[in-house]
Amino acid sequence: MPLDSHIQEIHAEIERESEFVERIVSEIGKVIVGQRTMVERMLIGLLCDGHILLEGVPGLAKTLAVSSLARTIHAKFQRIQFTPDLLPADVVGTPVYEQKKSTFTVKKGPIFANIVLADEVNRAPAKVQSAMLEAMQEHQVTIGDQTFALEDPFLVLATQNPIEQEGTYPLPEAQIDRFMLKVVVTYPSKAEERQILDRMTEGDVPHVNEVVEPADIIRARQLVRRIYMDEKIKNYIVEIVCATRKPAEYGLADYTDFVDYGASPRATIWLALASKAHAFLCQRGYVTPEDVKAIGMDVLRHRVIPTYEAEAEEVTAEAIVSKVFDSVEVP
Amino acid sequence: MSYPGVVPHRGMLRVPLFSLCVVLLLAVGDAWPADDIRIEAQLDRGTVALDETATLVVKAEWEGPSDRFALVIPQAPRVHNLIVIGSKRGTRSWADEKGEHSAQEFSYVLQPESEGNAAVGAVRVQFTTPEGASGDLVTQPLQLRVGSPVHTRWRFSWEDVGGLVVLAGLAGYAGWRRWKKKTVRETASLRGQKDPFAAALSEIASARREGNQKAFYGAVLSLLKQLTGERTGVPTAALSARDLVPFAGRLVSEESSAERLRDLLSRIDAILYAPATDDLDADMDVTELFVRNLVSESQIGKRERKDASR
Repeated sequence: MPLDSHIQEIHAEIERESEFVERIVSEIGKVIVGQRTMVERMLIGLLCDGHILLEGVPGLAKTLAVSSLARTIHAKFQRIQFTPDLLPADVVGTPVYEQKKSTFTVKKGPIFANIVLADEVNRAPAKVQSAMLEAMQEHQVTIGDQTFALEDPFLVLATQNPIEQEGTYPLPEAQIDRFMLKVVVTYPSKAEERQILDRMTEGDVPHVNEVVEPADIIRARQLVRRIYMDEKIKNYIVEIVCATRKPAEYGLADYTDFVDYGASPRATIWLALASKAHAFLCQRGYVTPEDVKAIGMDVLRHRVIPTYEAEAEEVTAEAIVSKVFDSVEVP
Repeated sequence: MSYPGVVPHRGMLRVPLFSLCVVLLLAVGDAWPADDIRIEAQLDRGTVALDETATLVVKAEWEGPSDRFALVIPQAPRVHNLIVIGSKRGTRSWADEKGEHSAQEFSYVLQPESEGNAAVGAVRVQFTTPEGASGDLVTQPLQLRVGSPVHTRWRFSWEDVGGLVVLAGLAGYAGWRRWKKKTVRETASLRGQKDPFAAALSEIASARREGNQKAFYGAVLSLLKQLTGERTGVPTAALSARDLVPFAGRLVSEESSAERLRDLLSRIDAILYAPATDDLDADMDVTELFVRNLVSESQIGKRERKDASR
């Protein structure tokens, strides 16, 4: 099937521009064994200018993966460990009085970086969380009477630990919605575990090299937006999101009582953009239903709020989303 | 036992002698195996039509395990106005409150030669026991009446012709009603997707005539989903073209066709979801023929499976 010149042009450009993806993956692969999905999702976040919530038990190399990604793209990286006594100023910065000049100067906080790792984001109080989430949304921070734009690219990767929930401040739904993706990081396979053992206990720990510049990421972002999305795919995305709100209309009457709130329009936007980024990672100039399905769970799992009935029946948000994808007709 | 001084009376001696004889007779009787095995011959019917068959069952039954008697397969019975066209044998054992029982059956399928009387001669069954005893048993002869064939040739009379005319009229009316109902349903199904293959094939043909590639391959994908769903029972609505690839081998019998189907499924995404092109796809004619063959093969397979299940 010959493709027309427009799509051939995009294809060629994508092939050229997405070449860095494999280089990043292979560099990160020097220190992270497995976790390919997590690495790809981080790249999708970078390409879509969306933030990511990483959830997984401690010790799954979440922090190492994020710091390695920052190193590969030659970006400024900051890590903030969220604790109950953290203050908003510790994140965004604060005006400091300079006695010599008798003036206030702004001391910028760790949020002024390209990649920010907000470790255990649910351990800090709501005011700290909202300060960071506002910065994530607006891409700017106001300290005193001055407003500062944040770096570009700017990616926040927040981690949550699904265990030890005592004394935590769970993120409200409205704030969780601001994360483009919620990625659940799972344990490595047995073979990967063995590889980790060999790599981390013998010889020197490998070093990650810079393989791309932030400017390349920004250029790739523009290309991602140009990826073709057929009307059928757009309608499919809308159907998927609507099905999370009104399951009964999609033959899922059994799930009506299990959904308190369905996905927001923000989910529609992110699902479309993330699907394009997924197509980009696959070096393709158009989006297929496979892209939507591949990324759909990570876009929707934190946006579908199950009811108490669902919890009682042990029906999770993931189960609802999965059912939706199994029910909505692929165009 | 005798006591001193007592002379036995003649009448007194008669009783033990008689008892001894009875005991001896019983002992001898018990040792005679033919008394423990019974034989019986039965026909499954008293009258048989000329174009039917009757079955003769010779059944030998005894108490105890099946190996208590070994039967020699008897020769086919002598018959009159019949032909023995088949035979089989079977052994069974069972137990009830009286103990264990065994039986052996020899059955013969008999086909009559002409209308009238037929007869089955006695069947002789020889047996042996593990102790070395042997003997034979004979069944009673049986009679059978052979009637006229059930499926007789039609002999026309004016009454029959009249009846036929009425029947033909009724059949014609029923056929017309059925045709009308089917036609209405098919027309409705084209609109309401009730007959998926016909609707999808018609859509494929129409899209090919218009040269609309996206509509053509969309209809092809829809048809392949329906075929896969029907063949595998898997709900296919939410599956993409690539999701159907693993099922390709189950839709066609030949590996070359399966390979071609996989190739088609892997190409469909690029056609359906990439920007439309002005290039006419020469493959559309071939693809249409291919999917039509798939439908035919599926329908033939369906019929064969239905017949086999009967």
